Amino acid sequence: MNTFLSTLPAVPINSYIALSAVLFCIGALGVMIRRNIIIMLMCIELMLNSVNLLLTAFSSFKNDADGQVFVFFVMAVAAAEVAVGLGIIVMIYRNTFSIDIDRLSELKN
Amino acid sequence: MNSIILLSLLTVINLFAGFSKNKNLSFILSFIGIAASAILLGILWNGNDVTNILAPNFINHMLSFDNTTIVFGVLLCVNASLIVLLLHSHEEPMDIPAAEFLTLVLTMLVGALCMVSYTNLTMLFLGLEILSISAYILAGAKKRDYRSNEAALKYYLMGAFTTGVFLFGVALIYGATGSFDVTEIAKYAALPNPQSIYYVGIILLMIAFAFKIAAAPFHFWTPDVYTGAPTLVTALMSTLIKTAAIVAFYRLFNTCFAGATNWSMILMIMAAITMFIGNVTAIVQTNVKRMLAYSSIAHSGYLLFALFALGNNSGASLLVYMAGYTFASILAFAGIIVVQHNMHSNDLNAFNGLGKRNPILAVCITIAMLSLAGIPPLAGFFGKFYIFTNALKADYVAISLWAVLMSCVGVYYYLRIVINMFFKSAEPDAKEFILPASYQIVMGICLCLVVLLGVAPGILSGLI
Repeated sequence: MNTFLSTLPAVPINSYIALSAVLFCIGALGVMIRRNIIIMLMCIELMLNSVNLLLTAFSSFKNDADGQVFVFFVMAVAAAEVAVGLGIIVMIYRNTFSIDIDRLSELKN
Repeated sequence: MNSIILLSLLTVINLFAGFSKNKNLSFILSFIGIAASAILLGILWNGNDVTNILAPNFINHMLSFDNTTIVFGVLLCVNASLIVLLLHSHEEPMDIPAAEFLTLVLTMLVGALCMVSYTNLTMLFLGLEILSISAYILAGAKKRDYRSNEAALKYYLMGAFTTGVFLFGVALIYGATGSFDVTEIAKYAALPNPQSIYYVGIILLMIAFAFKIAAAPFHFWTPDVYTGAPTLVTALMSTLIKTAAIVAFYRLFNTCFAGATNWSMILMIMAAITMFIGNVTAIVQTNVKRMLAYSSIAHSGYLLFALFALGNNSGASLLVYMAGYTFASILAFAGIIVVQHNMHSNDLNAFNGLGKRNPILAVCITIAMLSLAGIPPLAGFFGKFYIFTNALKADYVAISLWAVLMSCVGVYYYLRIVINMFFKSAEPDAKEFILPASYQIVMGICLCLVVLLGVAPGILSGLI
């Protein structure tokens, strides 16, 4: 564990950017491709958490606490957002008995 | 700042007011609260912070209330109070109690005020989310209506996705500049050779804002969401949210990237596509709400003019445009709500013969449509006039001509409703619609403002 922690600062910032970008893209692709609303919600969480990782990495590399404070805001807002999202899903399930997004195409002309 | 604190407290109090037997209590509270917050904003005019309990720091320089902010803040307050009035005698069945609806409108206003006054990206993010999360709930206000459900879900998924894109952009800009403060970012933007992650960050922010103001190619959610949501919420979305988002966008560009010309090209292409898609697709719509959704997309295109042709007058022209658009839209949506309630349809044919049955209502809708189309001497004309003049002064000739051409296309579909109202006959047994008192008040106010701003646009453009 100690050797792991001591080698951690040697990881360059670009690796963190690359990792966050990959996680973000996986999340974004998931939102576009998957049809199950719960999984889409999870993909959105993945996007937000990749941002958190990136912010923390930048914050640590710049020795500036602002980025990590921002992460708390992101977490709080993400929790609020998911609460509303799950509420919407429950509302839809009560009407359609399905959480498949393709079942919802009433408005498409 | 005081106005934001007041409104935030009021949201909590308002929920408890919902328990009261007096149904009017929460309406009165909200209305007084919004009026008071408009006054509290007005007091700060020209930097007079006499009453501010947190002056002069505004939570560690995260918000600033200059005159531009105050004018837009008051516009947002007026906008919200008109919607509150419309809700008072609302007859479209909502599945959530009025107190909750009002609370959500107030939280939206809090978010919108944060978005027009931020000087730190943290506040911008929080404002955007306070606004959006309330809007997701409101879009699904008709719980048992399948279409409202679908609108809420689509809006939610698109909004949450946008939040992710926006945050990634903010994180990259933070990585490049080392700060969330717009003045620090502006200092970095002025340096030669910025890092590449900085450019990626700005592009992601632009995509996020394009989603929020419904500019092409990120407009695809708009028609479905605007059609499915309750009409009153559609009115809120196309006025309040759009104003807040475009002003936030404008503040970001005005403070951070004023000198950078490389963004204007992207915004210009975006504006050209948006105007084309909005106006041309609106022609083939037969559902009036859907048509107004495309019209709202087209208006986003005109609004983008204020961003790429950034100059001293951009703020003023944006204000005149937004004020004209807001009041004309509320007037139009109020008319649509009345027609929808009586005819149970949003179809263009539901408006047939309205000119004979309800001449006053028909005239109101006509004026709203003419203003949205930009016919002089109404408010919409001067908004377009200022915006196009600024663009021409900055030598954006081709795009201005394109915009004028697209406005002419727009006249066609706005006039279709007018033709249906005055030149087509209704079913013989049709009765006159009854206009509730609060609708009469709101429509009267909007009508006066649309005409007044058309006759004397200088009263607004002289302010900032």
